[in-house]
Amino acid sequence: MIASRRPGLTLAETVVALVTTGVIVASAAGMFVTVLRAGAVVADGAEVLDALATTTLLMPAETRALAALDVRAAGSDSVALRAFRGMALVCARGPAGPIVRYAGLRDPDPAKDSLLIATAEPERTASLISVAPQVNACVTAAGESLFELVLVPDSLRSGDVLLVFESGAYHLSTGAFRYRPAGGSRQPLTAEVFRTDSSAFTLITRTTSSGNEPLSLIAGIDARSRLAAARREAGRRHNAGSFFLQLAVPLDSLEAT
Amino acid sequence: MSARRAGSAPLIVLLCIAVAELIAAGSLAVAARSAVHARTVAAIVKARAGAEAAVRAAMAGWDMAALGGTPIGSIIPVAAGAGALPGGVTHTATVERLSSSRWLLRGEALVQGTAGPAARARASAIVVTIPLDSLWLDFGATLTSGGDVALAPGAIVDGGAAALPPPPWTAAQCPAAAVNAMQGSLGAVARPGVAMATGATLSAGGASVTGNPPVVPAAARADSAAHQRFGVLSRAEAALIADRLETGSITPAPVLAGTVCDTTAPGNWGAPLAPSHACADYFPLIHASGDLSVTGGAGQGLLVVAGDLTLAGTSFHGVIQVGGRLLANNSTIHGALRTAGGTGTPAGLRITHSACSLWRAFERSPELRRAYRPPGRWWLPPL
Repeated sequence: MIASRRPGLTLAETVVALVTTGVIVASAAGMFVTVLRAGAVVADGAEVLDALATTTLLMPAETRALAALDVRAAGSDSVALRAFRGMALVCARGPAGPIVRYAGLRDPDPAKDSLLIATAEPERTASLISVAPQVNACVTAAGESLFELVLVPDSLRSGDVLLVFESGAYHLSTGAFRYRPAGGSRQPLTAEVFRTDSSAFTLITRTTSSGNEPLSLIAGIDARSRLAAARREAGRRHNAGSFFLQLAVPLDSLEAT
Repeated sequence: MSARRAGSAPLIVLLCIAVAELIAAGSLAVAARSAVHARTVAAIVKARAGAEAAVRAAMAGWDMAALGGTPIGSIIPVAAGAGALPGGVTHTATVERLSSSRWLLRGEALVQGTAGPAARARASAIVVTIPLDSLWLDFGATLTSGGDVALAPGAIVDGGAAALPPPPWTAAQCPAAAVNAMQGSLGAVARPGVAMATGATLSAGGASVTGNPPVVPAAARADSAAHQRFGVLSRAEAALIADRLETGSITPAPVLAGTVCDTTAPGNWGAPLAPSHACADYFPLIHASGDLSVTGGAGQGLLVVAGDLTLAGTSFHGVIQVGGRLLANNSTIHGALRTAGGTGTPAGLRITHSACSLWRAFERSPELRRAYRPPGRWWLPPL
C-alpha cells in the first residue's frame, strides 16, 4: 500500500512557523514602539529647544538697554519693567503737539503706551493722549513714520528723544515663560516646559543712599521635556531632555564705558 | 523536485532597516534642530555685539573737525564706526545731530552665513559733545574775578586788542575763523578788561585796565557758583577728562620724542613761543587739584587750578581758571583768566584778551572735541 501524500504541514512545522511569526511580530511591535518613542522624543526635544530659543533671544533683546529705573519690581517668578516699543525724535511742532519721526516694533498706542523723555535732565515720563499720522512735516529716514503726538506734560523741543514704552511683566509661571501687558492677561510665549520650582528671576541690587539700585537681572531657566518630567515622576531615569539656562542681563554695564 | 516557497527573511530585513532609518532620522532631526538653534543664537549674539561695537568705535573715533559742521537733523555715516569683526561680522555706524551738542549714534551689524545674511542687529546711543559756546561765554572778559582784585603798578589788563594775533603767532596760526567764532558767541570783538562779582573791589592804582568797558559788573559769570564749573563741566569732570594732572611746582617746556611732540613727557604744555615746533599744536587741558606754582617756561591750552595759582616769569597762551587766588610776578597771559578768590598784588602781570588763543585752545584741545556719554541713560533700546 502506498501511503498518499497529502498537502499540509506537520505539527512541528506549524509550531516552528507560529513561534517564528510570534518572534517577528513581537520584534516588529517593539520596533514600532521604539519609533513612536523616538518621534515623541524628537517632538519633545524640539519643544524644549523652541522654548529655550525664545527665552534666550527675547529676554536680552527686551532688557539689553534697560537702565536701573526701568525695572519696576522683581520677584522670583516675575519681573515688572518698561517694555520699550519704539523711539521717536521730535522734528517739528504741529498745531496739537510735537511731530516726531518714529520707528518701532509697532505704532504708538495711547491705550497702552507712555513716553519717556530720554534727553530731559533728569529724564521724565509723559502721558500719551493721542497719536495722529502725519506726512511731509519732516524728512524721514528709512523705516521711520511721522506722527503728531499729544502728550501731558508737553515741554518738548526739537531734537528731544522719546522712548515709547508699555508697562509689562515677564512671568515664569505654570511651566511657561509668559508676558503680561499692563491691564492684560498672561500670554504664554513658550510651551509649558519650565520647572516652576527651579526656574526663577533674581534681581541683583546694591545699596545706595537713595535705596536699593538694581544692577543686574538674572533669569535662571530650568527646562525639562514633558517626557523627562513624566519619567522623573515615575521614578525612572530622566536625565535626557533637561536643560538649565542662566541669562544675566546687566542693567548698567552697558553704560560703564 | 520540491516547490520553492517565498520566505519572510527579506521582509524582516527590510522592516529592520526601515525602523533603523526612522530612528536615525529622528535623532538627526533633533541634532539638526539643535545645530540650527545654536547657530542662530550665536549669529544674533554676534550681530548685537557688532552693532554695539560700531557705536563704541564711532564714539572712540569721534572727529569733531569732520562732524562739527553737520546740520541738525542730518544723518551721515561715521567712518570710525565701520569695520569687521571675526566671525563674519561687518558693522557700520551713522550719526544724527539732534541739537548743537547732542547726537544720536546708530550702529548696525550684519553676520554673514554660508547661504546669505544670518543675522542683523542694531544699536543706538545718545552722546554729547561739549558746547564751546559755554566756554566762550565764561571767558568773555580778560580777567573775571569772584574776589577782590589788586593790581600792582605796571600791571596791564587789556581787553581791547582781542582780535590781534598774540606774539609770536601770525595769521597762519590765527585765521579769521578765530575772531568769527568769538563774535558768534560773544558779539563784540573788543572785550571787557575786568569783570567783577557783586561786592568785589578793584584796586588798580598805577596799573592799566582797558577794554570795552574796562570794568564791568558780572554777577552771573563771576559769582562763586560760576567758578565751580568749567563751561558746562563741573570742576571734577574737568579733572576726569584732563590731559595732564599737575601738582606742586613746575616749569613747563615742550618736549620732543625724536621729531614728534612727546605729549606724555612731564611738564610739556605745548610750545606757544615756537610756532614751528612739533608741539605748537598741542593744547592740553591741564588740571591741578590743589595749589600750583609755575616758575618760568611757557605753556598753552586750558589750565584749571582748584587752589591758588602762582605764576613767576611764565608765559601762557589760552585760558586759565583758578579756584583760589592768582599770585603772579612778571608773567604774561594771552587769552583770558578767571579767578574765584581774586588776586594778590601781581607785579609785572600782563593779561591780554586774545580771540585766537581762546579759539586754538578750544578747537585743538583733544578732550574738548570728543563725544561723551550723557549723565544717566545713553544706550537706547535696540528697536
